[in-house]
Amino acid sequence: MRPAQLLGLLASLTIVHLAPARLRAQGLECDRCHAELELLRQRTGSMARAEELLTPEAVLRGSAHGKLACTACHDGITQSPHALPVVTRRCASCHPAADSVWGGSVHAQVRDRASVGCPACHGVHDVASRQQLRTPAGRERGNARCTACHAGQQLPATDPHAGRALCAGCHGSHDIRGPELIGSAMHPLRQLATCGACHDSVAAVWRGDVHADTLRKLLAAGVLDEDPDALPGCTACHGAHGAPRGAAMARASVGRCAACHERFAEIYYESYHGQAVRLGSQAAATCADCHGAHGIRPSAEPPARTARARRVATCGACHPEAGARFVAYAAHPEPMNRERNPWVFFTFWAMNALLVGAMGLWALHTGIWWIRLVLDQRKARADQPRNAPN
Amino acid sequence: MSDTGTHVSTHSAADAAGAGQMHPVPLDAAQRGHGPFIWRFTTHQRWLHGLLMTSFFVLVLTGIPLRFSCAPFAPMLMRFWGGVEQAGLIHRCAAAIMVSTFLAHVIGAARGLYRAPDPMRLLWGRESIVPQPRDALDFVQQFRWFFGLGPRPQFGRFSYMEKFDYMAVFWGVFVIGGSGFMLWFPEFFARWIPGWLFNVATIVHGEEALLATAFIFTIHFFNVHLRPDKFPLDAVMFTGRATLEYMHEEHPILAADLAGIEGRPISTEPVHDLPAPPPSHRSTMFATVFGFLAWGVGLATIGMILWAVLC
Repeated sequence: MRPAQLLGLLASLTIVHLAPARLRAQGLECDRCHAELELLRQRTGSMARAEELLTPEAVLRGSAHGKLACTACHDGITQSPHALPVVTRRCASCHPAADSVWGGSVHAQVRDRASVGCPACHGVHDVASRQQLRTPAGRERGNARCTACHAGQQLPATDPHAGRALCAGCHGSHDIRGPELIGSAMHPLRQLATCGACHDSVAAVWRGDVHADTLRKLLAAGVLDEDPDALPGCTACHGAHGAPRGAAMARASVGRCAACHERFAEIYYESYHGQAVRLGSQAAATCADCHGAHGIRPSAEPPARTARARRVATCGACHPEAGARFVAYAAHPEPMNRERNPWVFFTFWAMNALLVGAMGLWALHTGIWWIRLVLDQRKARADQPRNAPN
Repeated sequence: MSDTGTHVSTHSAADAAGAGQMHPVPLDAAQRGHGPFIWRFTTHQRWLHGLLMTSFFVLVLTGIPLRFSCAPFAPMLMRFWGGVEQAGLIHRCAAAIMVSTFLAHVIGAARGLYRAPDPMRLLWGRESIVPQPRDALDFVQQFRWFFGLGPRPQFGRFSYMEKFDYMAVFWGVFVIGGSGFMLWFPEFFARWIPGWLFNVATIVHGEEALLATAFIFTIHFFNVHLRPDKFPLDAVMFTGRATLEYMHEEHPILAADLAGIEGRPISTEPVHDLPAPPPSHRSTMFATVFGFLAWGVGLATIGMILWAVLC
């Protein structure tokens, strides 16, 4: 044997050894048919069916089941070619826990099981592994499975999670439920855990927030049928899909806070801050600028940013020269509330009395004058023919 | 108003505006009727009024969207000004112009008073703009005339309405300007005054400005431009001059003093009560366009306010 021949033999042996395991199982050579599209087409008489049955070994090798033999799932097959129909084992036979959890999910209630069963999300031969789902390509592929049915639910490109999170990362996977249901990963009562899995430092601060107190109180009181939209979880402020980022979040906070704190929003809009923010100011103070974001406490408590002792610092973030007198400003004045803002109340009424009084008197003056002039002109026109010189 | 065809004197409006051909009744009420033109306002006064009204319009149109921030027109106006921050800057610039105009007037008036041979004539009597008991009587007499209970009151150089307009500017500059400065420099003012006064200043500023806007764009406009005997425009403040007949109608006591003025030489310098040349075509055009623009924008603003208040 010449050296070149020997080298060729060695190379081919190496390739055989390093090549992916071909579609084989217990002496069967599945790839003799299932890697040949044309052969499958001839056998089945249908190109579509042939494409379904075609199982390129690279796809299987790259999947979570890459190390399994074909007969691990298609276990009725003992000879090749095999008899039809082929029986495929249920996924639950290996994954009983996942199956059991899935049985309680919203998908289990869908009548057309084929559209929501394991393969609808996991695929058939290309079942993704946990590691694969953590790669950008894996996330994109995984999310595409969800949006194939949930069209229009794609995250907008502006969403901070777009391209970074799996749908299942927030919504849960086998235990997925409508966000209005307790037990859903997206129910406000569970958002601290769900969102906090990634945003752990924020979650730690938020545990001390007045909104967390509210949730705890509701849980303790067993008030679980509360409308989830009224519960102050993460999405109550941040929204779900299309959540604003950074500075935009601070601007958007006004509308989000207003959804629950209607009265304060109304009187905030009476202030310069509110009016300017409503018209798109990027500088005027929003709710979050004064009250903070994740560590909000009632103003009566000393740690609150709006507590009397801390107001100079809080207002000073925008008004550096603000002093003790400055912070006596009422950020939420109520012109109609005599008890709360007596001076504002009296000024409001005095100014309106002046406005109505002055305008009323002059409107009377103008109105009667108008009528007088119109009557005079009419009279002059009526008199004209008689007095005309010719 | 008299028929323009019968008494065409040398300086009449028909000559001025028509340039050779017979012109219908001029748009400008101050150019209607016969008699020579009389200088009523000096160049200095016309500039002050021009600056005052221009800055007033800018202040109103930059302030109204903030006052009615939930009205549908508010974001549109803010976009026009280039955003809230820029509108705020323009508002402050206009405020500076208005306050400067006001100060220029106060200094000018003080100087005029100091130099006048007879300062008391400017401070009291029918030549003065200072409100007097006579004006209260004129006001009552005006209402008597409204109801046909007496003759029309006879006004001197300034009617009680003009005096009210003039005094309202003082009140407005102090009240709106003062509260505006407080809100412009809150940190500075808070060294001496408590913060809740800014809440008071916010209300005072907004409500008083609303009163000023409503007054100027309805009452003032009606008194000087829109009333049937002046409609559609009185440009005396823009051209500085009016016909003798106009003066007889509007300021009969002053006009009585002007008897025999027809024989006096025309003054090209705008000096009170001297015969004036008819306003040029260009100045009439400018005054007409400026006047129509002003009352158009003013009435549109009133429309916006009503829209915001009523819905």
